[in-house]
This record gives sequence, structure tokens and C-alpha cells, in this order.
Amino acid sequence: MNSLTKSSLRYLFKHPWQFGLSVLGIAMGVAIVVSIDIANFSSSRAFNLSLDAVAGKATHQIIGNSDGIPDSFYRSLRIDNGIKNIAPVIESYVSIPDSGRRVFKLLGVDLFAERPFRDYLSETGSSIDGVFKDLFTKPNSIILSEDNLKKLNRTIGDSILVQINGKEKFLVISGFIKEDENNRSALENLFITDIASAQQLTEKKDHIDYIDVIIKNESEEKMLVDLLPDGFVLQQSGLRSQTAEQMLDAFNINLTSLSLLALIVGLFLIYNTMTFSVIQRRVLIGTLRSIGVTSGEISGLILKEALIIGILGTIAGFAAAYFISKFLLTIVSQTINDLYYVVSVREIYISPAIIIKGIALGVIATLLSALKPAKEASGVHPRSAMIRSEQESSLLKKIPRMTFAGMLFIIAGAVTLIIPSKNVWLSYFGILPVIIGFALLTPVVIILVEKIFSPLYKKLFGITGKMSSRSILQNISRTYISIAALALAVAATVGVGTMVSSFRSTVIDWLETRLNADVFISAPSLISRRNDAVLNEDILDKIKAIDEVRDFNFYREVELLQEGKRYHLLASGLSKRSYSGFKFKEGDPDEAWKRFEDGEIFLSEPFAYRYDLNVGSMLTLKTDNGMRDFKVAGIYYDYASDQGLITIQYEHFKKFWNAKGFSGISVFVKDENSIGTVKDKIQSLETGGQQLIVRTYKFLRDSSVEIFDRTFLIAKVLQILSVIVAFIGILSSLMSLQLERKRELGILRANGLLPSQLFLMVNLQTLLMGFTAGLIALPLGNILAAILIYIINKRSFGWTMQFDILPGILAEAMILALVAAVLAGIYPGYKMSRTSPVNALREE
Amino acid sequence: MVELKKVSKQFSEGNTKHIVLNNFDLKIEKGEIIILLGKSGSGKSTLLNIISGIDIPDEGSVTIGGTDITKLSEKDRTLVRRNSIGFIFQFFNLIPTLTVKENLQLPLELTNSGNQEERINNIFSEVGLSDRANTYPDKLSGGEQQRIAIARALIHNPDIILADEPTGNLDYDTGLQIVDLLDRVVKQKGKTMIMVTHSKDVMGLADKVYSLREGRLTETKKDSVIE
Repeated sequence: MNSLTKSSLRYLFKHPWQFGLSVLGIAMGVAIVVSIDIANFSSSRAFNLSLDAVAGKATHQIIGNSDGIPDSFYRSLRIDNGIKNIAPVIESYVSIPDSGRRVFKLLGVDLFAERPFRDYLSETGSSIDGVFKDLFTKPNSIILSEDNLKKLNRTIGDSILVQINGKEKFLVISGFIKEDENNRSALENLFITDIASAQQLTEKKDHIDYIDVIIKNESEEKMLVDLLPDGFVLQQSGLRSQTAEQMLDAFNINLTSLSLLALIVGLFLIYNTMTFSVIQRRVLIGTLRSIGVTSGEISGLILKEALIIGILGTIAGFAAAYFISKFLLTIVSQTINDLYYVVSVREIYISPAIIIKGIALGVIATLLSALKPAKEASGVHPRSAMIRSEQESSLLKKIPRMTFAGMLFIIAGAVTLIIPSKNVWLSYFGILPVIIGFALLTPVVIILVEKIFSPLYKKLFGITGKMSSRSILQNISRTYISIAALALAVAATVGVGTMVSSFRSTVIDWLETRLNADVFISAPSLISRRNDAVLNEDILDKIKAIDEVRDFNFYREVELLQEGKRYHLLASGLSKRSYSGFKFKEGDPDEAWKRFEDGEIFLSEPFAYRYDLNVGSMLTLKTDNGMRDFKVAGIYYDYASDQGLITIQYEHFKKFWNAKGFSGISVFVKDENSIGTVKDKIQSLETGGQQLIVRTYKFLRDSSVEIFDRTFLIAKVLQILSVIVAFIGILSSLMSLQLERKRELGILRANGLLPSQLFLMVNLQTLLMGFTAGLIALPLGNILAAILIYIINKRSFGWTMQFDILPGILAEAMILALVAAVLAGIYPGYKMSRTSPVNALREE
Repeated sequence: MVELKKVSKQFSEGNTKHIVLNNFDLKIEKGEIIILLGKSGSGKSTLLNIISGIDIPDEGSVTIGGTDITKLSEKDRTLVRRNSIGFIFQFFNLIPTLTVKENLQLPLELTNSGNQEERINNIFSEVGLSDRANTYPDKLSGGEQQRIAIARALIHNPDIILADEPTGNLDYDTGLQIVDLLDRVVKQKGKTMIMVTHSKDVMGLADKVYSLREGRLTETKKDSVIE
């Protein structure tokens, strides 16, 4: 190792706090990004594995109408048309109440048709423990993996109480499949049953969900397509996972970008540390340059240091990501279950892409953020570097230029953000210049704050106070970077906090307008935001017959899979008194309702945004009688689904779709005092085993808000992690700043300043730095919130949201900045006050 | 060896222009020791910077060993400095993160010199302090640090030594020891040296003494300075 490298490494190790905190900062940044990636990837992989497990070797699937495919059609394909490579499937979910509501996929198959499709079912002999007979002969028999059998603490012949579509049923374990490397992931959350049992359990009488097909060539495909009745489609089996992934696109992008925010703070930290280390070593660099070290060798040295920090930070980041991702995975999969689809994730998956991205972010981004400090180091003038005052005066001279450049950056960011585009990444790209712009405005804010606070500090704390405020300006080349880093982190919390609160109050306003009935009835659903279970139609008649019921609404939700897209269609049987609950973004309400009653459709705002539709546009939907065009009568505000909804009047829905049952019913009572009575009467209705969830307006509103809060829990977690990264940054730079002033503080001690006065001085200074950071963070935070609300959310989900500037969040942010700064000042203040003036003076 | 022709340099301070070096010539022969005198701010350090290639003049040429360094790129000027010049500073400027021995090793590594151990031992025998080889600079006294700084300036055998007030930060006795050392290792070895100093004790080493005033260089009689 040559002497230059040795010198550089020893510099890092001689400043263990600075070095350690930089590594920690990068590690945290990498850990957050990687763990979010792992959580996203693991949940989507778990979902895809469960799809693959079900799809097996099927190349295609025949999808039927809204109520599935009649048995008779399958039989005619197999027997009348002699098509052998087909298998009927019913898919559902069951949850086990006495096993922490663990969810399993119930797969109903015809074992005679299975051989070509699913390996784990076609293997006979030792692998399946002689259970086929029982599957056929005993109703509700299932087989499961040996591992699941053990986990559920059951043996063959035991029964399991499960909840399926809101009804409690018993399943009987008739056997198990031994796992091996090939089938382990496929069997992870799977119960397999005979198709007849599945029909009975899911109450899909004479119907199946879809037919798996293996197609070898185009002529087979054509022949099959020709046999399909109207409304039936043949689709490639991969399409289902693709549409599921599309659902999560915006969700994943926003999570990733929030995690990138933590990394940006981390990178700021690296920039901060490296710039700091260059400034600290200006004399040393000047000496090296004087004795013949070239500017290239100097910048190489700085980049090598950044590389070491980047590599160590990345390694530590990956280790931390393993643990953080386990925690995040719970939150992410909860949100996916709340909002999108049922997924059960138990294992952590990591892909090469995640590893490459983590390394690229940790190492390459660290190097990139060290480029400017390295350039600065290489530009250090060999002789003037040795004069400290010259560094500060040169920065003071640069301030007008920095301020101007800052404004230019902000304008550039604004221009990027207003470019009309649906690209979310472009929006995030536009945030970066705004952040840089504010960082460049920091020195001018420091000057203003110093001008205001210097007299005040002097009045309050005497000469100690004056020195505290003055030294921020005197050391501006160092202090401005720390202040900018803290300001950015606090601004991020203001931005995300304001966005979440604004969104929350928009949703609450919307819920209060929309939920205008008194009692709401649905079947238990595995997805919180959507009712995937169905109530029998006769329940509505029984509810109508209750004396206290004045009026009612009902709806049926169906999922339409067409042309690789997944639409949610809501067929509403709305009472006129509920019309006021709809606020229209486009379309005259009276006119819109009239046309709705005539068979036109409404679109929710996210749906219209996603597919570029307006009032008067035509939308083609896959009905049970084939493709039909529907005209858009109105576009309404809706926050129930980021995928968007299509709403049609129920009686028109029934003309085109056969789906039976209701997804939900809501009731208006005659007298407010009878809400409890109506609720009790509904709960005691004879429903043939159908469980009902009966909720009052207040309960439903509160539980909806609870789901909302749960959805944004991850944003809060990421926000906290970003603040931790920023705190590490501010601690690191304040510590370096104070430790570097050792000699100056030693002189003060030598001149009679008490250790307590020195402690106070250091802390007064960091307090003022925190205040300055807070001052910058408040406008920047609100700008970030406005960008998140008006641009990012709009482009991601199409939602219009109100923007509330919340004094509480602003006050919290200022307190956060002050507390972070003061906490970061305590240790250096303590250390400096304990240092002997002799040592402090000598060590220079 | 070193030749400056019609060298001018000025700095701007706001709207005011401050002429530091004003169109002067200077020729220093191989083995000559030149001392520069002048008030603070008279341009002595600027002149050293120009000779070392750290800075370039606004006008004129600076020739070192036959090469006009004003025509070279910044990198090439650095390489000339690395190979042909040794620097001695008032505040020693040893590398605090390298031991004494490593500080001496650094110029040898930069110049890819061979026999590094031997050369380090030789220079230790001249400046002393071989017992402090593995010590870090902050544990040395000012005089010891300057001895190591002189050793560092000489170890790679440069033709020219530039010294900026080498005794300016030392007490009288230690200053004398440093003068004695410079006499032994610089003058007696026939090195060319340009030194900025106010110390009369160093004058004995000088072949020529120049004063820098209002941007012009005038030769001063050595004896008159000593008196």
C-alpha cells in the first residue's frame, strides 16, 4: 500500500465517529431501499408462486362469464369434442379462525384430468398417501403438504373449521403430499380438494371458475376459440399474474420512491461527509499538492475513500435489510391484502436485480455524490489552502452566485414537474433540482438568521451567545452543509406528513358524504377494501321486510378480465337518497343521473385518468353476452380503489351479466333511534349459515379510516427511517464541526471560559443551526407536499386531493429540527467542555 | 538552472488592481542560494509559487532546467515540482496521518525512486531522528518537525529547494540548528535554493540576497542586511 493511500485510510480511522456515521448513513439508505425491494419482490413472488402452483403446466385458460363456466360446457369439450388436455378448476380462499386467521388457497380439481397439469398431483404411489379414494368419496376432503399438516398440528382424518365466503365449514384431511425441492413453494399455502367438493364448499352449483388448457399449436388454439360461446375467452395463463402486477405498479413505485428519499438523504450525508473531510484537510491537501501530488491523484484519493465508505455501507446495508425487510414485509403484505388481493407471504425472496440495484445505489451513488467534493479537493490551491480565513471568505463571495443558481435549480425543477406526462419517475426526477435549489439557498438564509439572532443571542446569553451565533457564519463552509442536510430530512417528513394528512382528510370528507346510509351489511371478506364474498339475494328481501327499514341500497361487484386488463365493475341498486353522496368531477349531476338510469355508466376519477376517458367517451366491456360498448355519463370522485371503478345501474347490469348475489347492502332506517334494533334484527336473520358483517355508519367510517392509516403506516415507517438517516448526518457533521474547533475552544478555555459555558456555547450554536434548518424545511416541506399531492399522487393514481397546511405538522417539524440539532450537539459539547485547554492548543 | 524573464503578476481586490511582481528578470545558477527579503504582502510567496509552478505569471516566462513551465499544463507543472523541487514550509506541514518514516517515503513513492530504505537511512543519518522513525509528527517538537520537513524536501534528490521562512516558527537556538542543517545538506551538496526569510542568521548561507519592493527585485548586499 502506498503512503498516500495509507495516509488516507489513517485519516478515516483517526476520525472513527465521522467514518462510522458515514458508513451507517449509507447502510441505512441502502437497507431501506433494499428492504422495500425485498418486501415488494417477496410479496409479488409469493403471489406468482401461488398462481404458478395453481396454473401448473397450463398454457391457457378458458375464462367464462361473471358466474363462471357451467359444468356442461366442460363436459361437452371433453366428451363431445374429444379435447383431452383440459382440466376444470375452482379457486377460492379459506381462512382458519383457530390458526391466527391463516389464509390458504383452496384448489378444486378433477384428479382424472390432472395428470398433464400439476406434477405434485400426478405423482402417485409413495408421494400421495393413498388418499385419492377418500377425496372422491368423502365430501369436503382435502389434501395438503406434509409441512402444513405439521404446522396446523393435525393428522390424517382430522377436521379443520374454516371460513369460506363468509360461511363456516369443516374440511376433512384425507392425506398429505410429501414436499420436495420442486413442489415446496407450490404447496406452501395450498389445500387441494376434488372439484365436486369445491363446488359444494364455494356454493358454485354446476359451475367451475375456469378451465386449464394445454395448447400445442395455433390450429388447436383456433379450434378451441371457435368452440367458445359469447362472453367466453381463451387467455394465456401468464396474463393473470401480469394483471395482478399491474395493479401494484403505482403502489410499488411510490414505495420505492419513498425509500429512495431515504437514500437521497443518505447521499446528501456522503456528500456532506466527503466535502467536510476535504475542507478539514485543505492544509494537508495543499501540502501534498505543493510537494508534487497531482490534482488527479488527490481526487482519486477522495474517491477511494468514498468507495471504501460505499462498500462498507452497502455490506452493512444488506445485512440490515434482511431484518428490516421481515418487518416491512408484514406491513406491505397487509396493505396488499387490504387493497388488492389475497397473498400470504412467509419467505423472503431476493433477486439478482435487487442485489445489483443495492450495490449500484450504495457504491456507485456514493461515488457520484463524492465527485464534487473530489473535484473540490483536486482544485485546492496548494498555498492558499493553508489559510483558513480564505476558505470562508471564498464561500461568502460565492453566496450571490449560489443563491442565483439555487433559484435556477428550483425553476428547472418546476419546469420538469409541469411537463404534462403520466410518468411518475419524471415527477420524482423533478423533485431533485428543487431539493438542490433549496440547499443552495441555505447560506443566504444562514446570513439572514445570523443578522437577526446575533443581537438577540448577545442580549440573552452575553458574549457566549454572540460567539455561538457568529461562529455559524464564520464556519459557513461547514455549517451550511449540515444545515441543508437536516433541512432536507425535516422537509421530507413535512412533505410526507402533510400529504398523508391531506389525503386522510380528503378521504374522511368523502366517506362522510358517500356513506349516507345507517347500517351496512356484507359477507366477511379477505380483502378489506373490496367485498370478494357474496351475499345471497334472498337476504335483501328479508332485510326489506324489517319494519324499521325505510330504504336500502345494494351493489354487486364483479371483476372483468379483458385484453390483459382487470376492471372492477360495480352494479349499484341505489336509492335516490344516496345520489347526493356522489360528487362529480365531470358531467352535470342531474343530467348524469338521468343518463345513468338509462344504462350509461359512471367512472371513478382514477379509472377515467388511467384510461384517458371523459364524459361522452365509449368504454367496451366484456359482458356475459360478448363485448359491449357503454357510454360514460359522469366521472365521480372516489377514493375506494386506486385501480378505479366502473359503476352501472343494477337493472342494466343484469341485462348483460349473470352474476348472482350482492356484494353489499346498506339500509336507511325510519328512525335514528332504531339503528341498534335494525342491526340486531339483521344479525338474527336466518341466512342458511351465511355469516353477515353488520356495521353502523360510524363503525364503517372508523374502520375505513383504520385501513387508510394502515396503508400509510409504511410511509410513516419510511419517514421515521429517513429522519434517523438525517439525524446520523447531522450528528456526524456537527461532531466534526465542533471537534475541529478544538483549538478555538481551547483558546476560550485558556481565557477563562468555564466548561459549562463552553457546553452552553456549543449547544446554543447547534440550536440555532436546527432553527435555521427548520426555517428552510417548512417551505420546502410544503412544496414537497404540494408536489406529492398535485403531481405524484395525481400521476400515480389519478386522485384529486385537497391540500391542507397543518400547523401541527409544521410545529412538529420545527421541534424535530431543534431536537435533532440539540441532541447532536450534546456529545461534542460535552467532549469539548471536558477537553483540557493544554491539549486542545497543543494538538494544532 | 532557474530563469525568470519579464515576469509580471497582479491581483485584483474589488476594482483595485494590486501589482505584486512587475516585469522583472531573475537568473539563478545551479548550486546558488538566493535569499528573498521583503515586507509582508510584498510578493515573496507569490514568487515562490511562480517558481514552483503552483501559480503562473500574467506575463513572462519561467524556465527550469531548460523548460518554460508557464507553457506546461497544470499536471505537467505538478510533475516538474514533484521531480525537481523540494518544499520547506514555515509551519512544517508534515502529513499528520503518516509516521516520520512514511513522510520521508512519500516523495520517493511519488517519484518512483529505487532504494527507498537506503535513502531513508542516509537522510536520517544527516538530519538525525532515526529513533523517531515510527513516531507521528504531532509527537515531535517544532525543531524536530522542521528537520524532518527538510529531509522530506531533499530525499528524492531534487535540483531546487524552495524554503518559505523555514525558521520563522522556531525559537532562536532551534532556528540556528536548522540553519546549520541547511548549510550541511543543501549548500554543501550544491543544491539550488531560493529562500524567503527575515532571519539574519540565515544570511550566511546566501550567495545573493534580493529585496522585493513594489513588485521589483533589487539585489541587496549581504553584509548590509547582516549589520
